[in-house]
Order: sequence, then C-alpha cells, then structure tokens
Amino acid sequence: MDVADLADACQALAETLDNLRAAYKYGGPQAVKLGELSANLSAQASTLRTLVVADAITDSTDAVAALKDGTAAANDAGKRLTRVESAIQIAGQVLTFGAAVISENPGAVITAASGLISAVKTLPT
Amino acid sequence: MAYNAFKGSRAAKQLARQASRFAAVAVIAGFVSACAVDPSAVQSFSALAPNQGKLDVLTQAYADVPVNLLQLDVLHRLSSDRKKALTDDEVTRKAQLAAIDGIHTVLVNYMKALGALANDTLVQTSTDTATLTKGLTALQKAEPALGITSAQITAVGDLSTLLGDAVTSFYREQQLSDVIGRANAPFQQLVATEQQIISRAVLPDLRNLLDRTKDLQEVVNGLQLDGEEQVSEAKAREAARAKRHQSASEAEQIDIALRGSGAADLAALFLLKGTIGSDSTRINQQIEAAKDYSAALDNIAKAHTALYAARENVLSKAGAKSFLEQESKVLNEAYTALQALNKL
Repeated sequence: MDVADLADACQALAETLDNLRAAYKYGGPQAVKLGELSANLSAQASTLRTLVVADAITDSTDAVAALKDGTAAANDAGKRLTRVESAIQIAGQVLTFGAAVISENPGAVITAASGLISAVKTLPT
Repeated sequence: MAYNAFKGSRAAKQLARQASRFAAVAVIAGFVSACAVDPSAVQSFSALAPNQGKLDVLTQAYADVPVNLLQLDVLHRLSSDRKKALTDDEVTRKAQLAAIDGIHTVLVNYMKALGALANDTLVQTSTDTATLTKGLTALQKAEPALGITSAQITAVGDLSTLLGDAVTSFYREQQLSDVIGRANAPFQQLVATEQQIISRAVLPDLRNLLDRTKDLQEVVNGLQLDGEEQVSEAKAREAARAKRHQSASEAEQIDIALRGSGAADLAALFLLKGTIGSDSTRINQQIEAAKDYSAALDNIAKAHTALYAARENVLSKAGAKSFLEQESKVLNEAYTALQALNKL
C-alpha cells in the first residue's frame, strides 16, 4: 500500500461515515462525532495527497533533465539548418550542383550532389 | 565505318548529351523520390501539446483544496492538528505548482520542438536556387554562345530545390529519429508523473472537496427547513395578533414580528446555499476536466510510443501515412479530450 492508497482509504472511510450518518439519521452527539470523524479523515486524505504529489515531483527530476536534453537536441538540429554559415555552405553546394547539371556531365552532377549531401550531413554542431 | 561516321556526327553528340542528362536526372530523381518527406505524422503528435493555461486551472484548484476545506469547516469539526496540517499543505501546494508547471513545460516544449524540426519549411532551399537561376539567366543573356536555354535554367532550378530539400529532410529525419529514440523513456516517465498527479491527487482531492461541500449543503438544507418552520409559526402567531390589533397594517405587523423569528438567519442560509451550489457546479466541471485530461495523457503516451516505433521512417510519405492510419483513433481521442479542457 502506497501513500496514494492510504489517502484513498481515508477518503473512502470518510464517505462511508457520511453515508451511515445519513442512512440511520443519527442525531445529537452521535451525529456530531460521526461528522467530526468524517471531516478529519477527509482532511487527512487531502494531506496525504500533498505527499503523493511531492513524491511524484521528486521522482521526476532525472526524467525532466533527460527530456530537456532531448528538446535541446531537437532545437539545435533545427538551428544548425538555419544558421547563416550553414545556409551559405548549402547555397554554395546548390550552385555547384546547378553548374554541374548545366555541364551535362553525369560524373560532375553526382559529385556535386554528394557535396551537397555532405554539406548537410556535416553541419556544425 | 558507318558507325564511326555516326559517332562523330552532330546527331550522335546530341544523343550522348541527352543520355548523360537523362542519367544524371534519373540518379537525382531516384534519390529525391526516396527522400520525399511528409511531416504530418510528427506534426499531428506535436499538435497534441496540452495547453499550459488549462492545466493551470486544474493545478490551481488542487492547490486551493486545503484552504477550501478549512473554509467549509463552519461546524468546527476539524481538530487543531488537522487544521494546522491543512494550513501547511496550502503552503506546500503553492510551491508544488511551480514544479508541476515545470514538468508540464518540459513536456510541451519537447512536443513542440519535434513539430518544429519536422517542419518542411524549416530550410527554404528555393532561396538558394533563386540565386542560382538568377545567375544562370544573367549568364544566358551575357553569353548567348553558351546555348543555355530558359527550359534548362528552370529544370536546373527545380532539380536543385528538390535535391536541397531532400538532403535537408534526410538530415531532419536522422535527427528526429535520434531525438525520439533518446527521449522516449523520459517522455513516458514524465507523462506518467503528470498522470499520477492528476489521477491520484488532483482528481480524488476535488472529489473529496465535493463531498465536503455536499455535506455542508445537507447541513444547510436541514437548518433551512428548521428556519422555515420557525418563520411560518411566527407568521401565524403575528397574523393572529394583528387581527386583535387592527391599528397597524398586516404587513407591518409581520415585518416587526419577523425580527425575532430567525428570518435573517434564513436569508443568510439562502445565500450560503446559493454559494455552495455554485461551488459544487464549478468543482464538478473541474472533476470532468481532470478526467478528460487524464484520458488525453494516456493517448499522448500511446502516440509517442507509436512515434518511437516508427521513428526511422516517420518523415517519409509512406511512414507518415501508415502512422496516421494506425494511430488516428489515439490521436483523435487525445485531441477530443484536450478540447474538453476548454470548458474550464
């Protein structure tokens, strides 16, 4: 049984007491006592839920750091493509490729295409 | 002999040129078609990034539960220890809000970053190609002897754009695959953390608060019935007295009589009942929203698992189509559940 289960149990017991009080139409001191027990169990359940969230937050610290790294990697990859120097490098390769196509030399076209592919693959990190 | 004559002829050279061009275009076209991209699968997943503001409504409701429980304790049923614990909880939960927001922000930023990296307009190779075709057009005009035609320039421009887009897409796919591969475990853990916070703390605590609110409502209903009886009895007494004293109007007599009848308490109870009713409606809405959000989180986790499985091929047209077909139910359910948060 973990803290969340304990909170559930307290809350369920509080509800049961409320239902009993209503079903048997308790009055006077009995109703007051049942009301007190129910209210305090309910408050106890709420306090335990605060602990559930505290534990969840503590346990997530490593995952938060790891996912931040993943997000940074995705953003960096995008930035690398849009960086000015990268754009110039790719633009240069695009020009070389275009010139090769115009020359109608298949070997030059394939070499220029490889150059363009390499330019993208070796973008600065 | 005839062959040698043909080999040296202008027609043969033209044919050879055409064959070379065809070969080059075929190689490039083959590469380009293999790299044809479709970012729709990743972007569909990215679009599920939950709205920070809507989650704030739920987490703020969770943070307010301790103070609400204290306010509802009009019959002084809570022990002093429990009151102190609730007061401490109020402070702790305010601090927890920032941490929950932090977790949510990390999830949302990651989902949006994937969508941005998949975006096929991230790099516009067409800008580079425009420079190329502009230069070639100038060259065509300056040196007509080179024989560069407008059709060639257009073809070269189109091919360069296609190749540039393809290689950058290939790069994006590699990066996406790597990022999704590394992020799957922490992503699943953080979604599970949010799920735990919602389903094991926020949702049951709101139900707890609703139970306490209903309990007070029943108490108020009981008091109101008692009060109404007292007022009816007072009215009857004063009506009888007014008949005996005809000097003042009946209304005046009753007004005076009500002063000691508990009518003021009855009015206060009426107002309190209205407030409790309004609170119950609001809490019920928050409970429904928390359920929807929990369902959305389940589906977001499933969608990322599917994205992880398809990561090597998810930017290809075939991969994206397959992902969207297989995961349409999960994506639609997540989207619908997130839309339900807008009721808050």
